[in-house]
Amino acid sequence: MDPQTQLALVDDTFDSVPDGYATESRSLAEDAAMRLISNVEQVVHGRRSAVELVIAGLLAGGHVLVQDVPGSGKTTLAHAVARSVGGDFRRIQCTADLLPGDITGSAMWNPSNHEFAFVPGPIFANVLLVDELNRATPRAQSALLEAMDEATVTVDGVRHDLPNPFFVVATQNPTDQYGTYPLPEGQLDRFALGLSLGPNDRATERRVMREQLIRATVGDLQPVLAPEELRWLQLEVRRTYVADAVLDFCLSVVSATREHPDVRVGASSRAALSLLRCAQARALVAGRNYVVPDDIKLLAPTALGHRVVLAPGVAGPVSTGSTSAGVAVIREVLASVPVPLRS
Amino acid sequence: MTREALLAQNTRATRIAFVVAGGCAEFALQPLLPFVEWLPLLALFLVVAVAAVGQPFAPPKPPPGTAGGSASWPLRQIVAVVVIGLAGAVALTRLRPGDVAAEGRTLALLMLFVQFAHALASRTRREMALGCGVVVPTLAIAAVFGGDVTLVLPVTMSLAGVAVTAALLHRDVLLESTTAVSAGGASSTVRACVAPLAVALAVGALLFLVLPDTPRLRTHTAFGGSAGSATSAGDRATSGVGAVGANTLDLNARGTLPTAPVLAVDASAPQYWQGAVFADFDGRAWHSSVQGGLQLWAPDGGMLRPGVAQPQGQGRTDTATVLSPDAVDVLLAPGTATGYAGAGAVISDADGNARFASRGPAQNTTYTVSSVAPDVSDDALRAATGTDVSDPRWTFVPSTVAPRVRALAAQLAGSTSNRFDTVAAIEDYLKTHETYDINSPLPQKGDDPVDDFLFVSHRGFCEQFATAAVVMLRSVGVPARLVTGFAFGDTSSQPGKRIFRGSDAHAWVQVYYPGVGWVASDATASSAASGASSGGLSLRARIANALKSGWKQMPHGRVGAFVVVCVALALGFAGTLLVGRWLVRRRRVASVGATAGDGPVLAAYLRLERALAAQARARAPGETFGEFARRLGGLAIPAGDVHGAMRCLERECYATGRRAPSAAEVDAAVAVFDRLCAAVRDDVPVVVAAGPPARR
Repeated sequence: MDPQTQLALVDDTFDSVPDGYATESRSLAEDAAMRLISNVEQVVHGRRSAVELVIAGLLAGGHVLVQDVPGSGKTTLAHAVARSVGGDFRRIQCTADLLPGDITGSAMWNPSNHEFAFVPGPIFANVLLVDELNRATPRAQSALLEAMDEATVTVDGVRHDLPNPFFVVATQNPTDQYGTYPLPEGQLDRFALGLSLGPNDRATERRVMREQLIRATVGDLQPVLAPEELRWLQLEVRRTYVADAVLDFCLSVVSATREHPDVRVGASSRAALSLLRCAQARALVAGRNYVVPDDIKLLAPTALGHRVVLAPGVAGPVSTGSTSAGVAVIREVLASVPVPLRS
Repeated sequence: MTREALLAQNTRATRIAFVVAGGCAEFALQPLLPFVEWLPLLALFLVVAVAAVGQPFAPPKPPPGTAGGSASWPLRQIVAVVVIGLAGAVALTRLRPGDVAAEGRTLALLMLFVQFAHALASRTRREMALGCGVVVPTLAIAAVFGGDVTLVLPVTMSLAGVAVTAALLHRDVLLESTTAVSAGGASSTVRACVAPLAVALAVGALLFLVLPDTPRLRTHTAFGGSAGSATSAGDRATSGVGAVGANTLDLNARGTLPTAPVLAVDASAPQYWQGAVFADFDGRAWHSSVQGGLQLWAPDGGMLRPGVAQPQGQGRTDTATVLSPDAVDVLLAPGTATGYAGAGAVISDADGNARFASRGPAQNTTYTVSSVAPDVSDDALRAATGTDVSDPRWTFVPSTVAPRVRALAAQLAGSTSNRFDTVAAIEDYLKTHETYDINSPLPQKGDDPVDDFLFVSHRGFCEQFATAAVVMLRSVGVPARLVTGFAFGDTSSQPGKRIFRGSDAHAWVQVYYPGVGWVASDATASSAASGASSGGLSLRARIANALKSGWKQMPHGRVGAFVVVCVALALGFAGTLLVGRWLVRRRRVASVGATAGDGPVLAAYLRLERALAAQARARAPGETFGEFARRLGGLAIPAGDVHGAMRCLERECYATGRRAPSAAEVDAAVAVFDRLCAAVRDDVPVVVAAGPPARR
């Protein structure tokens, strides 16, 4: 594991300075985010930045992909976030023989009234945890495409709306492990954020061990955010102010990825929009109602790293889904794009 | 003086003191007007000024927990200016209808001072520029309503004061530029301070030159009051034929100026229509009495009782329509009346006085009048010979007339060889040395009005001009008398007609030439331009005249010294405070390498960045404010202050208007950056960690 990909992203030294200037009380959004974080941190330790990123993705209305080696706690993290949000929670454990119908649901023969009746699959939930997504075949993965993009599923020609909010948090093993199928670019692009966790240090690991022996497990977590509250927060995120200078900065970063020599296909326009959305969410969580370039810089590796298609040979035999190599490229890009002070 | 002391001066009380000082200076500039007239104006001024100062100057202090109201600042200023303008307009119409010039000028000056105070006390360059720029419409208003060169002096002095101060500030910036300030900062300051002033000066001068000065031709006499006043009708009812109507012209009183039309005549008729003839001057007032043999004209035009020798001259017959609802008690004619046909009987005497015996023609009735007026050339008048008029009344000068008036007349007449040139010399002297002012200060009761006009106030209207001319002419033996009537009128409102209004009432001089008769002479300054307007004068001559008359209006004597001291004090006070404020704010105002739209915090930060760049420790291009803030501070400034300032900078650059930093936050952040900047210049390390490694 490349230490560069260790996502120590959310450095809160700046935002948490009691500067005496911001006199307003902590906003509702900040409060809700704090509740989520503290709830998740009951069971996930040493992952503060990852937790904040996942929650930013949640508030931005996007979906999150967590990638790391098995046993690093990614399922625990995803599960904890999922349980912390109220509403329906479902989990799909992906395997090679998973079929699309197992995800979306299918029509079943009802002998009593001699009709086919649609039985909803596990995807009809507010929060969906898709564990080990890349163990499913591309056919099964594609069942998620429409759901993640349009929040609907179509079974036997009939469209069914998914609940609102609809949030997918997926985990994936590194693609070089046995029995996995690389995610297609289209599938990866559906995820607003793709993050790696990285190894815990010894002290944190020790603490995790100790607490796992005595303390509550993920299954015991209680929801701290109602679905209505989440819907309201997502609306607030959309209303967070983006100055022209910040918008330009975002577009400069995105277009710079397309010109990077190690990149075959740069970030898309959807990637730019998704990045802005997440930056808005991060600003709201930090108690601001405006986005600053720091938000963009902070989120760009996570929001763009898994989307860029690297040039052959840069990241080993597989050119996509390698978050670590993509993140390195995005960090290089960020260092080269000047931060605009004014539009 | 420490920065804190200077900042402490920048209170609302100081700003109000500014405006009050300006008002006092303006008040002092017009010391010769009766004090009582000024009390309501002064009160109005104070109310408007305090309202203007209190409202827009109050720094927005948003309550904790809410977004600041900074965005509405310019709006508030605009509202304040509009309110001032509206108050001025309302006061214009309310205070004294018909006498627009005085109040318009006064209010324009008041607004001017409020705006100057506003500009001086403003907190940012934008406000200062706005305040100075607003002077332009004020000048326009002043020029339209004032129409008077009286404006020139105070406006010029005020503008010059501010311009000099701005120039001093400019020099200050240039001096600073030897260290760190680039020329860009200086030029932007010049743009902000001097450009509006230059525009204001240019527009003001243009308006002054372009706008017609017709309001100055509006004249009035006590005679004007007789057209519509009930008291004159009452006088006539009780006094009989011998003392008809306005037969006294008191130079220590001012008549009213009704704008109602009095008489309509043919547009081709002469411009001067004479009414009463005044022969007797007692040193204070003119008296008119019917003298010599009387003649009476019947309503049908017949001569009932001839008894007066017919005057010489060109005869003509005119028709006039009475427009005044009250009877006109003197017969108005374009010369000496010799015949009348219309309602009522007319009594005429040897002097040419023609008055209605009882009630004159009713409103909207028409009368026909025959008259004669001498029509001879200047050369003929120079060569006029014959028997002079023998009546000693025409050369009588009261003993109260000051010796220096007689001496002046003798001096003027000494170099002339004939009567015409004597008249011309005295007329020219009055036109060039005295200023026409419809609202000129009246002499105190008991003062000699002629001496006061010629040697003290130098300002007067037609009565003062005509009286001074007659007294001086008589003192050198020229038979002269004062005539009242109507002059010029209005030929534009009704096609083919010349309309005389109450405000067209006028007084002028008639001089007797042997063998010719009584010839009109109008010494009132600028009335020479009555027919041909002042278009005949060159632009240069107009400017020279304006400057000359403006200079002459500098008050004289002790009052003048008082005024000069007051103005100097006010300007000095304003200048000192302005420079003091500038010393506090110069780093803020001189924004280095900044564009026009940059806020004060960004400007201050850019100065710091420039200073750091000299040490190669500046922020990397790809570094955000937040990242740079973590490296910034060191021992120079507490980290909390730096973060607060950077947060304020961040908000100024990226936040929406609702979350823009408040004035207090801006001040604090600018102070932090200025301290960091000073630390950089003193080689105190302020960047505590290396920047990110340069890539590619």
